[in-house]
Amino acid sequence: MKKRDIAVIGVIILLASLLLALTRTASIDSPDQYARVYLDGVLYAELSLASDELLTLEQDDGKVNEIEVSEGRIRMRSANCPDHTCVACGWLDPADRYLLPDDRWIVCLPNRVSIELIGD
Amino acid sequence: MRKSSKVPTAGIARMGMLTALALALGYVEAQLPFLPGLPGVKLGIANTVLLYVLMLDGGKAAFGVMLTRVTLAGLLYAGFNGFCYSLVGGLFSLCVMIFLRRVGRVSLVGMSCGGAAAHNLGQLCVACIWIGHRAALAYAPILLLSGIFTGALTAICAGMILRALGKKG
Repeated sequence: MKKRDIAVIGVIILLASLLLALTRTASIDSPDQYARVYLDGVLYAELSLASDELLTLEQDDGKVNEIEVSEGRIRMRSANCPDHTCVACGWLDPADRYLLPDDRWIVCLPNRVSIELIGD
Repeated sequence: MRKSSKVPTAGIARMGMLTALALALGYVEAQLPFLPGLPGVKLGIANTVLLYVLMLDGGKAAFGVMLTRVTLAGLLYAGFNGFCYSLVGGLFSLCVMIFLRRVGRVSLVGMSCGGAAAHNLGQLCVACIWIGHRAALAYAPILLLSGIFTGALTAICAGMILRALGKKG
C-alpha cells in the first residue's frame, strides 16, 4: 500500500459520504410534492401534500372514498368498496427513500378511484 | 500483448485461457448467495484475472478479455440484464483502473478499489435507467464503500498470484 492508494480510498469515502448527505437532504424538503386523484381514469383533483386535507369523493351510485393528507403523506382513509385493498395500502410517503415507481399508487379498483404520488 | 507479441498464436491462446478463467470465476461467484440485506454487493473475483491481465499485458488486452468475458457470460448464464450491468460496470472499472495506473501511478490495491467502486457506480447507473427513477442513487454510498473492501480483497488475491508467478506488481 502506497500513499496514493490511501488517497484513492479516501476519495471514494469522500464521494460516498457526499452522496449520502445529498440523498438524505434531498428527500427532506422538496417543495413541490403533490398527489393526483383519478376517478374513472380521469384526473379529478390535485392535492398538495404541504397542507393537511380530507377529500371525500362521493359518486352518484353511492360509492364513497375518503382520501386523507396528513404530515406530507397521503392515504385512502376509508372506502365502501368490498375488499378495502386501497385502505390496506396505508400511507404513501414521498420521504420514503426506497420508493419505486410501483409504490407510488393507491388504487381502489371497485370504485375506480386511484391516487398517484407525484414528485420525489 | 506486449510480452507475447513475438508469437501471436501464443498470445491468443494465453488471452483465451485467461478469459476462460475469468468466465469460470464469474460463474462460481454467480452461484454464491447475495449477502443478506445487501443486494449487489459481490466479491468480484473475476476481477482478479482482469487485474492480472492489466498488469502484465496492458490496457488493450484487458479490454479484450473483459468484453469477451462479459459477452460470453451474457450468452451463457447472466442473461441480457446481466450483460448490460456487467458491460457498463466493466467499462467504468477498466477506464478508472487504467487511468489510476497511468496517471495516478497507484499500486494494485488503489487500482482495484477504484475499479470496484467505479464498477458498482456503473451498475447503479444502469439500475437507475432500468427503474426509471433516481431512487436507486440512495444506494450509492453502500456500494462505494463495499467497493473498497471487495476491491482490496481482489487486489490481495491478484498480488499473491503475481508474486507466486515471480512477477512484481
